[in-house]
Amino acid sequence: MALLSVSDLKVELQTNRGPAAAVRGISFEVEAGGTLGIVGESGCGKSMTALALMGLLPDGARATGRIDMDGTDLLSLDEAAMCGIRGNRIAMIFQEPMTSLNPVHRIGRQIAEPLRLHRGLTGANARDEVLRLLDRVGLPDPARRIDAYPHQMSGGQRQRVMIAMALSCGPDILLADEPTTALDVTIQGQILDLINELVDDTGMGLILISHDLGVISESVDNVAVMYGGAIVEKGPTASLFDRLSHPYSQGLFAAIPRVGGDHTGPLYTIPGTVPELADLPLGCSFADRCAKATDLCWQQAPGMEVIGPDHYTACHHHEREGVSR
Amino acid sequence: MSETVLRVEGLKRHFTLPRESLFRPPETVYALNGVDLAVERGRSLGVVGESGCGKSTLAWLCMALDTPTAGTVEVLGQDLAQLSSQELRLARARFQMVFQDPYGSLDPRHTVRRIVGETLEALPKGERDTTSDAAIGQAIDAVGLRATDLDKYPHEFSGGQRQRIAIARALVTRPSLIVADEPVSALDVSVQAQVLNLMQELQREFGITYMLISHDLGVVDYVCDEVAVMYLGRVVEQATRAQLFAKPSHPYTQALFEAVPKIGTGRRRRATLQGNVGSQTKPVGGCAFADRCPRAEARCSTEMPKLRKIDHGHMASCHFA
Repeated sequence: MALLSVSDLKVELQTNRGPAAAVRGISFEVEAGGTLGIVGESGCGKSMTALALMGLLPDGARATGRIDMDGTDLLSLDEAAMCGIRGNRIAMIFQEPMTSLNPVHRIGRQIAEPLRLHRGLTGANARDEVLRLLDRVGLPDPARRIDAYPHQMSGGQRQRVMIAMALSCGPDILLADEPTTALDVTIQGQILDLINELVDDTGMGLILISHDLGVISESVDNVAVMYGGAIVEKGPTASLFDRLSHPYSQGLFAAIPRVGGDHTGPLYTIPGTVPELADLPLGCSFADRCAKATDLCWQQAPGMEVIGPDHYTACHHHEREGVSR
Repeated sequence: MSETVLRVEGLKRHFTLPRESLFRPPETVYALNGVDLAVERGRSLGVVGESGCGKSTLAWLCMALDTPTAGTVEVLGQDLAQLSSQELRLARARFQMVFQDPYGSLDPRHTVRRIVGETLEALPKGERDTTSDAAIGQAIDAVGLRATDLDKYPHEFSGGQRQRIAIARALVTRPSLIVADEPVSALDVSVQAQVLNLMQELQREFGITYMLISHDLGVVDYVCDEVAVMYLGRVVEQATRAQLFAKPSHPYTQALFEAVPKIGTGRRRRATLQGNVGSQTKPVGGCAFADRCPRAEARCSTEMPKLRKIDHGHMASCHFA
């Protein structure tokens, strides 16, 4: 049985334009030591999915469906029980290492906080453990840096501190929401390598959320592509990128300017913009931007269809034989 | 013989930090340490580099939004530092800028008509009055927005549309040069492609010269004819796009290429650079990249490599290139 199993997860937000379906019935699983990438553009619901897993949804948001972890439905837990899981069994790394650390506390104290709360470590024991963690995430000179404030560190170093904090309780699942978006490309490589190495060493499951297809392609074994709050295509990384089946995945792939790419014509573009969550169409959420859309697409949301081993797509008109790159 | 639109020579910009101690002199940030560049009419120059390499400082200096510590910026043969403030205001019609953040760079309380039209203030008075409405209409049409959008406010538009408004604002005086500082990095991939295509169409139509600043090598490869790679305030490699991407010669350029995530390679280890970009507050004696360079030898930390020609139209500053 999978370590984490999400089924038919829905998240509804209250906006001043009425209820908005931010996540519309998504399902996925993560095995111990497994890696899942969630890719999509802004407003596709990928961050809301992460917040729902952590039980950190904004006020007024409502999550339904099931999030099973070792047979417990996380959505049914009260806040006190969720506190025992958050940071302990599921840990999260956020996008912005500038704002997710507390600027007025030394980093040693911030990393020690989950150790104190979940593992009961105090004083010298906690400090030793913090030093070990900082060393593990490759922060140079941990004995000196442990008493530094966040503003004394670079973006990459801060992200290493965030990772040390996430690792502190040996979580079963690591949720990384755009962990490298704010970083330079050479530093991004270092952080992704570190995350991959930790996943291999500790056997924890990884959910990596990113808008960057390249980052996803290089870092995970399974990929889910999200659009308009739903998963439109998912499958093993190699098979998915070999045979992109959903028109949205194909468009996203074609729209990226690549080094050494084709310069003869304009870049492929997806017409229109990402939909407003408050007024999504009744049928397929991609219908208004899709070249293949027919009446069927406008009326009926497509279901997930198997098109290969563990490879699913949600489109009425996906190419049966698939396109190769 | 084509005309040089932008020429930058020996450009330096050092910022003095606030004094931290009574007994020590204030520290200096060496943001730009001698940059020479030239862009010809209708061409695009891409400037790539990581944060702290001085690429935004370079953009500000080219737009005369800041004064250089040393060196000159010439736009269409005019040295910007020699102009009086009145002359500079009129000269601004010929060079315009597009900023990174389409949310912060448009005044939320102004209509699109006013935002786009404001640039026309740079034109001489007579010219401005007779042409303004027509010019605004043409600019907004050129970027693919409708005339009905002119009386709307920025919040009514998406990020991609706002960036189109910012481009229309830059375009309305028919400038020769547009400097775009990370124009698409705040946009989603599908929208980014629309804006990049638009920039290329406008270049073909109006013969605009671009200086495009970006950290995204794919974007630079798509838009630019020539590329300059910067590291700690210096150009370390400069070449035509084809040459640079086919044969990156500086170890930093190579590392930058290697670090770009690629699709379809599967899970892989990246042979990435160790460490961070060096300090900007200490002047370097040798090669600024020496402490991170896999090929560095003793002479690299004492002897500064010159930016020299290694092939036709290809320059690099490395002892081993």
